[in-house]
Amino acid sequence: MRRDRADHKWVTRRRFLTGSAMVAGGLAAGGGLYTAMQRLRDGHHAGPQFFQPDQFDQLEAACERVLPSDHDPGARAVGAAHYIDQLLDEDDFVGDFLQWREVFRRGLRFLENQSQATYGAHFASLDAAAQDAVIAACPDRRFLRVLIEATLDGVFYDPFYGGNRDEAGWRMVAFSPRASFRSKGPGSA
Amino acid sequence: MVDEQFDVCVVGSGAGGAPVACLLAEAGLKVLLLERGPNRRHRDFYVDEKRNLTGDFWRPHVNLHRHVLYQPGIGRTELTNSTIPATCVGGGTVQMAAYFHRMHADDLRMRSVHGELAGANVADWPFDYSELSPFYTKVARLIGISGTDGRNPYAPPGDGDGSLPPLANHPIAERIEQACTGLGLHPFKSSMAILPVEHDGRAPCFYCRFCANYGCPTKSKGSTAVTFVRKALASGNCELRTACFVFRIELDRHGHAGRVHYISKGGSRHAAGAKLVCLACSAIETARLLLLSATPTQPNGLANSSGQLGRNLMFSAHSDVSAFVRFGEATDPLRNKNHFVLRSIQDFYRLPHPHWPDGQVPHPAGGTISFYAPADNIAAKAKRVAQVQGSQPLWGRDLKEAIRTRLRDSYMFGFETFGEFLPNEQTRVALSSNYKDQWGFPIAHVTVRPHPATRASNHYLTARGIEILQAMEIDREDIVEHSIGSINPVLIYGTCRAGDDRTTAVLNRWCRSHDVPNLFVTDGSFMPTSGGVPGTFTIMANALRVAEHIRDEELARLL
Repeated sequence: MRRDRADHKWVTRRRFLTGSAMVAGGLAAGGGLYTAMQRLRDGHHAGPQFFQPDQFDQLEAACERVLPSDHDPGARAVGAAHYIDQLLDEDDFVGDFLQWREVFRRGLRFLENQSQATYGAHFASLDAAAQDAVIAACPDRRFLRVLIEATLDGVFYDPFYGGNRDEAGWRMVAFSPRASFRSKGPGSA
Repeated sequence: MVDEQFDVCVVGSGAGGAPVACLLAEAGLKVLLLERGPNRRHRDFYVDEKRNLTGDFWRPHVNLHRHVLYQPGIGRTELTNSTIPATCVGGGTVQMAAYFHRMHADDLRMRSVHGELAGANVADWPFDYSELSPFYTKVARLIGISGTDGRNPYAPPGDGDGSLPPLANHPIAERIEQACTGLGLHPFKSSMAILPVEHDGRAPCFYCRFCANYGCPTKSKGSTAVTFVRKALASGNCELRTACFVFRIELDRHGHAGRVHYISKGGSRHAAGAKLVCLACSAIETARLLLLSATPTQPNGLANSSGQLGRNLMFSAHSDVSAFVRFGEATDPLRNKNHFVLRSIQDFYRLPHPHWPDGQVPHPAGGTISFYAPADNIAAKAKRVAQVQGSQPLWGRDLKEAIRTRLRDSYMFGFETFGEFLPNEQTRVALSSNYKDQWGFPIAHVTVRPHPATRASNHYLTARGIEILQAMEIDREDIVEHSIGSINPVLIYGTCRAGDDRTTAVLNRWCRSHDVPNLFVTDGSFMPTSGGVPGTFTIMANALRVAEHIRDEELARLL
């Protein structure tokens, strides 16, 4: 039921196919098929749609700094950058978010230029402390805000939207929507 | 071409329209119910935060329909769809949080009881609470409302009549009770339009924790879609047409509303004839429709000889504060998954003057403080933890620790305030001169200019709520203020205020236009003042009151 999004107006064909595949994956009892579907979805993640490959590397690195990995996976492993890439690639991407494309493009350009100027290296190849310093130096405060917001969306929104891989974001906070829908009543923990 | 003819045409199937369609259809009239949104079915209601909280599931895509929202106080103009309650059969009632409190008796007599206020346009309602009270009871019986517990010393007469038992609540409620009682306050159980037991063929709530912003998959929430609209259709006399946007009400040569013009899905234009027209499109869109229906004889908008159409727009003044309590051991009762906190207080419904610090505008209009636990919108909660709207957002290792501490290891709850928004002529709806909707009609230009007393009283209520949280021994740093002295953009009232004097009011005491004898407005537009509770219950009760009046008194004259 949760995967039935055919009525969803801005589901692109590509996403719809992925979604349908996931319905099949969800219905199949065998884990083998599920793994196959997972691979299909990961395959879909192979190349960014909106960003250039080098921009995408910068974005992944920046997202990872917003939510770094420790004993729980970080933003990179959860695929937050894929979520952002898909989001910005939407045809009718609108509203307050219209400016996000430009904020991201400019912000990432700043990260790369600043890294080259200060460290003589690509932003994506810097160590964590240096990346943090470069991000903190960004004069456009909007970029940091939008980066945090979009990263968290990518980690915690439904995996359908490209991030939250294997529901790792939800497991980090012990959340399962299915568990709440199975609730038996007020007393159940 | 001869139009289709109906006895009654109701525009809008939410809290204001559906009760009218239902009662008149059951009385044997041929009713056309037009709804601009789609018919959502319960299979559409699954948990997906992004779809339910953003995007175009509940309201039109912001490219297709939106409002200009101008808030001079905070120097902000935006194009937004946030002031459009859910656009679907049942309207905002489908995704409401469903607090159903009655208004107080003196809410309807703010001017006589509490006097005038400079800069505000406070007016009495043209009828008394005693006239409205029986209809609250009828609504409660019809849709099923989980009851309160009779402990609210400020409750209006008849509060709780017709209600079912209360819902079960989370154990945090006991601690709220203790804190309130310790402060000398009077907590009581919030009544909600959510079924604690089976009612009228609908299943009881299964405590899934997703009410506000979500549709109810078990029909336990008393949206008009599963109550009044369903009954209207079952009568066999009501025809529901979805995805139909009404853009003009046309008068006949006698000055009666004769034809309703609408655009159906795909863009084709239609007209339907009706002997009685009832508008309930939400206060902003109803005003817009009447403004769009201007004619050479009524150039300032239909039914606007008073010049008050679109003015005195009100919201529920709103604050939202969260608190986090760390879980103890694995058996900590706070780990209980029931999300109804279900406690409110109305000790600050009226603010005595001594409450006011120096220099504040004194007006006694206060409101209700309702404790609640938000649904598990994980991304939204994480963004709150990161304080992305603040000047120093959190990121990196600190953010990750904070997210785990707040979302995994803590219980999150909080309170909302529903305060009176004092009406004024500057807070209003007009037609935009710059922007049009997808069909080429000017969109609503909404100006929100809260009276200083509205903001002050909301700050006061919020401070009292925070005192209660602190009395629960919650650290100040675990109390997070998300919005204070703001507005709830989908609890909308005013714009067609009702009153006996046709020079100052758009509608009469029966919510019939003073100018157009067969035109009624039954959404929140009629309300002269907002009251200090969410208005949904009142809108439904008043719609039933008007519908009964139409059925019993007006039919002979109109049909």
